[in-house]
Amino acid sequence: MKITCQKEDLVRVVGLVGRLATTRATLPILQNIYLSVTGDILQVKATDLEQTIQAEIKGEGFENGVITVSARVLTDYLQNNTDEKVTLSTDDITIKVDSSNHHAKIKGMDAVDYPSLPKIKFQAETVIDSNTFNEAISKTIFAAANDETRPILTGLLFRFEGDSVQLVGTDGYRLALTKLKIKNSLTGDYILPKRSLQEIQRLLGQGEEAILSFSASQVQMKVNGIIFTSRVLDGAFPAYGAIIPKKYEINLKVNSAVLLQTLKLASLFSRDSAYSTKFEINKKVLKVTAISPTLGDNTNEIAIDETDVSDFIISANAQYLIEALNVLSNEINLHFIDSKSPIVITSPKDESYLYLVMPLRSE
Amino acid sequence: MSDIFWKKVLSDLEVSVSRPNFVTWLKPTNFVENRNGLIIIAVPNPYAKNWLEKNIVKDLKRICKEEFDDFEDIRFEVMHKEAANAYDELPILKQVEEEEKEIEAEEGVPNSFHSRYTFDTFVVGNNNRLAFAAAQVVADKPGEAYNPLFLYGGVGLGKTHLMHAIANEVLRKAPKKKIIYTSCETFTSEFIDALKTNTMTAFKKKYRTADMFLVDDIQFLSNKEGTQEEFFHTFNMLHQNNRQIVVTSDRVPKEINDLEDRLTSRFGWGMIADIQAPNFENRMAILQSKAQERGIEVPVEALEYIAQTITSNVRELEGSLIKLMAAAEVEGETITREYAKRTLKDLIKTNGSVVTTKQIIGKVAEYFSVEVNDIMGKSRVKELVYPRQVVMYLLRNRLGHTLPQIGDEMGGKDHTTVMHSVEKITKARKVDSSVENDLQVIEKMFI
Repeated sequence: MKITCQKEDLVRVVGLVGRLATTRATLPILQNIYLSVTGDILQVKATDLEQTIQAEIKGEGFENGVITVSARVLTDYLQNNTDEKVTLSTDDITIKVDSSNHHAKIKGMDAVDYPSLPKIKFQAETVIDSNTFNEAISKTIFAAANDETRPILTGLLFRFEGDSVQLVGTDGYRLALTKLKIKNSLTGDYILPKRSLQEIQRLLGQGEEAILSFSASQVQMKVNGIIFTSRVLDGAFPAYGAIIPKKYEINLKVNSAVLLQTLKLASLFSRDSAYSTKFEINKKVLKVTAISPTLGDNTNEIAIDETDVSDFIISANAQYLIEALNVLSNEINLHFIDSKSPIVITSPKDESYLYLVMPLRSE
Repeated sequence: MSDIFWKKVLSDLEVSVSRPNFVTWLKPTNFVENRNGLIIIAVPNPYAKNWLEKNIVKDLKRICKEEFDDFEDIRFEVMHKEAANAYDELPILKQVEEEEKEIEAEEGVPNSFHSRYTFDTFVVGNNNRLAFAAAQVVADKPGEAYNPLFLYGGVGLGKTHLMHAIANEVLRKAPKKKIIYTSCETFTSEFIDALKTNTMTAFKKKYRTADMFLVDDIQFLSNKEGTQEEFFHTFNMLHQNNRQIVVTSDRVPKEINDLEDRLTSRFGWGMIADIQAPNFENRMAILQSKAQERGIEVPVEALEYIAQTITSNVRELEGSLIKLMAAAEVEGETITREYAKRTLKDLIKTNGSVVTTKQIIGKVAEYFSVEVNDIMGKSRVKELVYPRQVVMYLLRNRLGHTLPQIGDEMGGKDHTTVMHSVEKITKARKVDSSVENDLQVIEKMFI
């Protein structure tokens, strides 16, 4: 194998795929990235047995061939190399990295042993705008569970219906959902792991449009020549439809930044009580209170448009609300039914968005 | 072809495949089913499927053909573990789900616990005071005080008694509570059945909806990674919801071999209480209370004789007293120290419990003219395999040891191996007169 490339190009793709190479794997070759030259194309890829990232760059002076080499060593070497062009070549299972002033031989491993995916038959494909997609993930992913006890909930549901896809995340205590338009018509449910979505968000910056393809067990995203493949979670997402309230008793308009700042203050005093924070609505005031048995207490008032509500009280985990407000901006709507029903946040800017939090018992 | 067989195939392959490859690709596989010679094997991801198909399928087919007559083909299927995971009990979904749940509760397994095992009938001494106190607190405030409660101590010292006592007490106060009592063995076999029959959802539902979860002899979780994983999730789910968990074992968590660290540490979250063997005074107290319970007058010197003879096991202690009282009643004799001595000697002789594991292994080795160490060893030559299976058969049928227990006694064999051996000898005994003959001669050696 032999090829000469721009060092900057090489650093970029090696850095993109190298993240998946882990040093913790039981299988030593998983610490490596896979390099292959076919014609004037250098393809690099890496996998952690759940996800694979593959990228390509052009080069010159090529000889076909393949090898794998430690991702960390190659990345560090290239990043600290100041030469403009780099020639990669192999001698059996050693890779030579030569540039005008620097020369290195790095021991690699036979590429035959590098784990790969079988060819996947995709059953659905769609094109989606990178920015809107990225934003939709941000607005829902934080609601998905981190806790592995319910593996399905560690993923985001992608529910395709007609010309739109709904993204839903829940950890059992709150739920976030939003809808995106897609360019063609599709149906089907796919649950994507949180970790893969974080990787997807990182890669979305690489191009304006992403092509998503799904099979029953795998999802693939192509952005600007980079191909990302991940497994989809196997199972059914809980039927969440029934918990979304049909109508609300109280509707408030609040500035998200003001509420966020207030909740941050209140959460200082509710840390040791599961961030339990009390909300009271009385005519023109939303009062937010937190009490700590050890620290003291905190009361805040937010002016709201006049309502005919008096003495409505509900408690909720402030942290859950803060996480949603972090990804929302400008005006938001707060909706309540009674003190035992979920608190709902919607956004006038994005009508499909809904965030729902279970209330805590207030005494 | 079965699960046991697949494990054997894997251990054959283990020597020819590099360690990292074995651990990454082969170890996480599971036998699923045999469809008329087409063997289905579950693999965790498509990378594994690809690797196995490229690198190992030829060897696998060769081994399967050698070992298994109607072998046709082998197929790998990607199966993810989350597929079986239920999402019931989502707090956020509770309001809408409540009605459905009430109906299910009625269908649940009726709670039945040994009614004699209560706190009142438990004789407290210095050897078990802490365990007793902890159990009472737990029964009083389930899920609040010590969660989990980990009781450990030797055989027949009252771990199960305390566990049932907790359940009885809780049920007395709240008869509708769903209390699940299971032995580690039952949990394991139900888990395996659920995997086989694709009924994981029901399995999870059963265990994860318990108000109280009692598990006996948790030490048998050692070496069972899959079951440990499932147990871990069940434990987490229940613990998070403040459901009381009580676990018994014959040793402290740290000393249970091959128990995952995360489980060991979780067992330490609540209270770890030990039950020691009773001293002479405690043994006397136990005997006296048992005699009183049955309303039979037994002279102190007879009780003393029993308390002196049987020192380490409360169950045997009580058993001997009951036998003595029954014999006296049948024979119309009055109980004296002499009578106790005579009766219990007879009882111990016919009881057969004088035969020990060691003796069985020794005699079998003697009969087949092989070394004890070889029987306990790993060599699979025919001359050793058969005696080894005979030993396991005898341990099972003569001493009534549990499969995992025998596995441990035989130097860390899997319980499925033991099961296979016991079944094989049981069958062979019926059809092969030489096997029957061997067993008869060996059994005579113990008299």
